[in-house]
Amino acid sequence: MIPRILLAGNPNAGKTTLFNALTGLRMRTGNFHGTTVEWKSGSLRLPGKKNGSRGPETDGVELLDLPGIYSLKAATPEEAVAAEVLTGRNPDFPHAGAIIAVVDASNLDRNLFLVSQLAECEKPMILAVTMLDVARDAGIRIDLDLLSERLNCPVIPLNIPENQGLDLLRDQLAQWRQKEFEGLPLPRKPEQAALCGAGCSSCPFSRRFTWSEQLAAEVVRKHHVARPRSTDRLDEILTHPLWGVFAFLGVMTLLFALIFTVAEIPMALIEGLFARIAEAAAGILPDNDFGSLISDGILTGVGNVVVFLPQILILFFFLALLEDTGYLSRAAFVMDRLMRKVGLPGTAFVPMISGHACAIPAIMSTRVIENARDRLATILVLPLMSCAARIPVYVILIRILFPNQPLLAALAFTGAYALGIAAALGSAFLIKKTILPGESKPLLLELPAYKSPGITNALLHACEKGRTFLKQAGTIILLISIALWVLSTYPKSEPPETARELRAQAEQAESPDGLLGQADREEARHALEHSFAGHMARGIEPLVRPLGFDGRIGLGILSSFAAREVIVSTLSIVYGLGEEGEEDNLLLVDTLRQARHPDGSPVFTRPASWSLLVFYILAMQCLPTQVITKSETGSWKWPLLQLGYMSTLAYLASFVVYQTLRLFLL
Amino acid sequence: MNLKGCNTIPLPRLSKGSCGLISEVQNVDELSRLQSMGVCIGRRVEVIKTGDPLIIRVFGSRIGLSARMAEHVMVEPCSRAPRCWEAAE
Repeated sequence: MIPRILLAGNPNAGKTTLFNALTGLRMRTGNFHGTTVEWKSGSLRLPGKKNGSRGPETDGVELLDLPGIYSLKAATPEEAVAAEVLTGRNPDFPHAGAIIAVVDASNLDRNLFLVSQLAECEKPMILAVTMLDVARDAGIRIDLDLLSERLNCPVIPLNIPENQGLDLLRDQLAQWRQKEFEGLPLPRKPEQAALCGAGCSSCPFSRRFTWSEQLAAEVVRKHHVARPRSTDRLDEILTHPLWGVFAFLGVMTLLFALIFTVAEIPMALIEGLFARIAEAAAGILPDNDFGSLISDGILTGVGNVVVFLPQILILFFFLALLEDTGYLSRAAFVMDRLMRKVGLPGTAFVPMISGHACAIPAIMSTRVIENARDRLATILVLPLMSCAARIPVYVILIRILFPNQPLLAALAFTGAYALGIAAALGSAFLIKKTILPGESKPLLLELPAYKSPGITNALLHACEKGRTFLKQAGTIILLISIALWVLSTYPKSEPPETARELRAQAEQAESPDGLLGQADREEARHALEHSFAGHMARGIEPLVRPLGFDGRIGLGILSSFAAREVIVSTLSIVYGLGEEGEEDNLLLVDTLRQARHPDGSPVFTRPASWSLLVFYILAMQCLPTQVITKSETGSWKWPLLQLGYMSTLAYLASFVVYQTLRLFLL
Repeated sequence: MNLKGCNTIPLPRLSKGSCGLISEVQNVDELSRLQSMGVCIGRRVEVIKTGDPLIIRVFGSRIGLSARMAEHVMVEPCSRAPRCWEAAE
């Protein structure tokens, strides 16, 4: 059995940096059983025996990164889980060889509080002291030898950017590893009398704090240095009720613009790459169902998964950088008062902004919200934010509505975003009032000192999130893509009369390409309309008629059930443009404007277009988001609820819009 | 703890830049989280920013908390007089 080392410490003490420095990419993540608390586990290679010839594997240990905590009082799920693991009561991580306690030198007295509790776990312990440079700047010097003597455990000073102390730490662990972590000296616990004096005061924390304060006073040599005020000065602005909000909106706009524009490039590359692979595959593969399954079903499916990666990586990279600087907790601080009005905490705002790029990384980033109910409510409403995939749909519909009126078109665009935000905030309010009642937790968070962020940490964090997404959502999204391919391909139908005539004409024509292309498009339209999806669309036609839609729009809605932007290509196919309409927006808009019902009246009237626009602002229409909702909430109940309420909302809103506008415009 | 006669006020009443000794943390949601962050009887707090939410300094760290929560933290403004909470103990 590989010995396990537990990494414990206060939030912001530098635990993650140490973990990353020790394990790098050799790590896995998961959730502690029955919770949404994340664990990170990595393998740590230790220097081998000097005179032995043991392989690196036998000398390895597993490093388990516990969540950042202030105490073992089990006041939060994080503390409960950490306490469980430290006392060997956790079924997933039952045994542990030793503890590394990460301690922030610039805030020693508070950090020693947790250390005193860790010392009571009866495990060999190493004290890893971080932020010594910050402490030095604040005029604090620590007598590490004395601290080591008092606690009866090794104390190792760390400076990870300078690569100092890591070898000492590894050597210490290697020594202990050789002894199989048996018979090692245990850290000295605080005397019972010190913790529980005359009759135990009402606050069990108080005496323990006194103990840690006394120990800190003993080992700290304070020189008088003017306290660096840069953090306080920055906070004057960044936590200001007004300027703070502006600063936050500025930072978020920048972040959002980055995700939007930077992600665009790799996304286009990925889409192009997969299109080319599918095309190349279609050239090699036989022109039958199997070939179509590979190129249209599986390759498209894989592309549908991979295309989310750039946004996920970029968002989490920048969020990790922002968090590392200490800014994110300020953002939560300034937004708290505003967000409370809809019953959500300030921490919910960053995911809400990110949701405008893509709901998937936004949902994954809701882990910053501490309270489970608040987090769930946020996840449920996030898909209402107008994500990037809605833009192609908005563009088409707004062009139909306002072909030559750029100002009105811009207003309609803004309105679409505003409606999404209003719907999300309103739904959050209602959800918090009904199915997830209870006041959200009052704000309580530490505001760490500002510092320059670590790029490596941010990169590792982003990679880890990308890997989690592929693992948790990849397979399901792929399966769904194949299922949708089946629905839109089967049952096969005979090519229509019109296509056959076109082909016959083409045989006689001098330049047959145009006619053949037209025949292909006819066949594609006919095949889709006679597939399962086409039959289903006819089935729901009576349902969508009150919204102003015909069966072909119904088919578009059905086919874009898994990915809303698909409606553009479906409309392009059912209105006879093949896949051309997807590339040539104006051609598609023109075609749609000309589209007529069998009785000769236009399909895309203004009421119907508005209605469809409102539908796409509010409808769920994104299965990958639902898969992520499931994996983040741990139950299919929540994505189903999400789908249910959003579809109902979209349906009702479209109904009202269509029926109302029909009275006034045509 | 009997604090009659003590000059204690709720934490949000401290002015910016002034400090106080915590004499009592009343039962509030999140009580133990508050205490484990250092907001606990006998600790010295300094108010960095007033308002709602407010920022305080306890030990070496800044903590942001809602005024609603801070109302439950009773402090004795710093002075040279004997510490009230000690006298009461």
